[in-house]
Amino acid sequence: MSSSSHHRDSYQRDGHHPESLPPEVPVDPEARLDDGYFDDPRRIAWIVRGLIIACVLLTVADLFYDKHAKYDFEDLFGFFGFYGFISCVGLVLAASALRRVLMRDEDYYTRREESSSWILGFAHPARWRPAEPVVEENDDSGTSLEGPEDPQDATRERAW
Amino acid sequence: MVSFASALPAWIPAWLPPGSLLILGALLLPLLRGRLLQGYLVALPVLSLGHLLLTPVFDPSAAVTWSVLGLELNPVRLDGLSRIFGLIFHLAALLGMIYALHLKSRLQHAAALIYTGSAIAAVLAGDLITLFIFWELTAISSVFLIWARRTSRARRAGLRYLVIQVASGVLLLAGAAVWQRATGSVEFGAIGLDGGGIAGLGGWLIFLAFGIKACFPFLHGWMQDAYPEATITGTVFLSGFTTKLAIYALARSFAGTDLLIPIGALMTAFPIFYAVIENDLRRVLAYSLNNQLGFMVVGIGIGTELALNGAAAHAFAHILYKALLFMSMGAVLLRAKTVNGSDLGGLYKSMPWTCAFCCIGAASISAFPLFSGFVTKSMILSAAAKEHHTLVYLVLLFASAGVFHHSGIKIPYFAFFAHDRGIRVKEAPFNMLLAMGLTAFLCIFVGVAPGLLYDLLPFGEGYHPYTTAHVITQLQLLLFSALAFVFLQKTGLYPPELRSVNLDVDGLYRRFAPAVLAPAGETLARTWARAAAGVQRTFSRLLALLKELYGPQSVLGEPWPTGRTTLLAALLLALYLVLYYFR
Repeated sequence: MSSSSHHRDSYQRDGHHPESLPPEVPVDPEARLDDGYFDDPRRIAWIVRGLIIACVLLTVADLFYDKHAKYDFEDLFGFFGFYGFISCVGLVLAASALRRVLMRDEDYYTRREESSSWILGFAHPARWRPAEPVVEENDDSGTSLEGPEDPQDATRERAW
Repeated sequence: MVSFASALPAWIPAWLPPGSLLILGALLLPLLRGRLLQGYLVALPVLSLGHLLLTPVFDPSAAVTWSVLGLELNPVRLDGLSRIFGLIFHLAALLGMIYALHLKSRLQHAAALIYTGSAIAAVLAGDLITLFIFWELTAISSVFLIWARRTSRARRAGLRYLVIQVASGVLLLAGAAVWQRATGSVEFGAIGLDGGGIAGLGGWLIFLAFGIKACFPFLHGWMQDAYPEATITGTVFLSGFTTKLAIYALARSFAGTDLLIPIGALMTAFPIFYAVIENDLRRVLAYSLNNQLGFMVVGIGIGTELALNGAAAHAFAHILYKALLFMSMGAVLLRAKTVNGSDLGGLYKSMPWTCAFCCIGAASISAFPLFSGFVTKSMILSAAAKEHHTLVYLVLLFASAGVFHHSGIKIPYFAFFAHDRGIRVKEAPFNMLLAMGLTAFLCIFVGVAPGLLYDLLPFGEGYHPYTTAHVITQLQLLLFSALAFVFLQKTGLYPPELRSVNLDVDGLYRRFAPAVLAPAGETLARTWARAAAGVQRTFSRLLALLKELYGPQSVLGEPWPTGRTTLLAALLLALYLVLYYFR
């Protein structure tokens, strides 16, 4: 538990995962990372500006049509845009907060499930044996029909 | 309304449910290979679709009815509701098969054929017993799509999946038995939860069985657990059938059940919180699948014609765009070997077609105008507003914004854009691109020409999605959500993608229950072992005593000389003589 909370802290501090990509991921070390269409920050800036302009236009459009609203609140100016924005910000902030409660290490389940002494999360029956084998007083010597007993046999039978 | 076929050709047996062609067809797979196998895999769903289209509408007086053990069974029942699900299931089977054509594994092909075929046959079942048989068959066949991943994670997830799916089947059978006892009928029709006494019990059992497969809150853990562990092509199949079969069953038996409205609203809302913080992008899609099911469940709960039409139409559109999204993430997994948001980025450079198709799927699930989600989801929202479920309406609006946020933006953004991590791969194989292209075309086609879909709906009520108010309010909702994403990214408030596990209800049986039950079980087993050892000791003491008395070394057991025996016999005879004298 302590190690997982330590990991979580380091995740949040660094803002990214400290480990590198898994070995099987085909990363090209020679690849140029700045020649793509969306690698140009000016292009991104234009996209964002376009989005803001579209939002403004859509809000202004509220003045020019009838919403046929079923509820009064829908008729409020810019209701849907406002509601969408608040919903998403609230959603993300709430989800980030939930991470503190819900997040565990990546191997939270697997480190237990993959160990051989667990089946479907339950202990293997082999682990149900008594912690110490029951030691039997050896007071029946001389009465056995078979002669000297195999001591291993006795422990094998009584271990369950 | 599109009309139905008038009668089945004489050479097709009327008792053979559509879909059984796919199940039986799987038996021939071992004989085929190469191009022949590929052609066969595409031809089977097409032939089965023909079978469905030739099947006439159900007529109780003329239909095939089997009387088995005093139960009236109707193996084939086609009407407006079962037809639209049968149609979309065939489409999904065909598209999935094309997507999986590159696979050499006939195990997966066979599992997919049996799975899709039994889902189709289940939809067309007219009684609860036939439904139960195919309900279980979907569970048993689909688990191989998970196990075929051949990892230990997949093996365990598949086992958990199978246990829960079979539990749903057992509940269904129990419910059917109780229901038959109470009503004397096993018809797969309206059931509801209002029945008193034993009928009510039957209704609740069946409701629970459907609810497990429909991923009701707290019964949903199996889906997010198992679907992302399935094979690349397996997840595409899985996403389409099991849950939508449950949606169909709910629409058939529990339409207008008020309880479904809050259940559905909860389903639309809570998975999206998980989707925002989940790293495995196929698991994000599983959460958003759960969210989309919520819309349909609300529609079924409202139960008006518009709402039920909306639920059916949304299931139709949803199967397509969800399959498309899973296909694109499958292609990413195939090429980049990972679908973790924390590891991906910049793939639009290597996989431009997959990226474009993914964006179409994302626009469809987000319900952008001209894409399929818009023309179907708005029916459910309108129905909710019309019936004055104000709070539910607001929750659905919130979920609509949220689904755009995590499926519409997060999936394409973290897979294909975000930070380029230098992953350079080949574009997806041609058959995958073809399947994605066809599905993307259908997503747009349904969005642009919704009339054709509306004609297939069970209730003949028209609907007009493209009103000025609808288009503008929806665009406002979506673009402001996008603005929120930009705002959160720019301010650094957006949670980074982290390699992690988020606790969900499956944690109850994967960690919590074992943590509680395993020590209890161990204590019980230990006590038992001690008690058994005690009993064993007592018996061995008893045995020793008996040996002492009667054993070879004992007084009674030792061999006697002849003289002593003779003397004893003489004494006994003398005693007898004395006794005889006194008689």
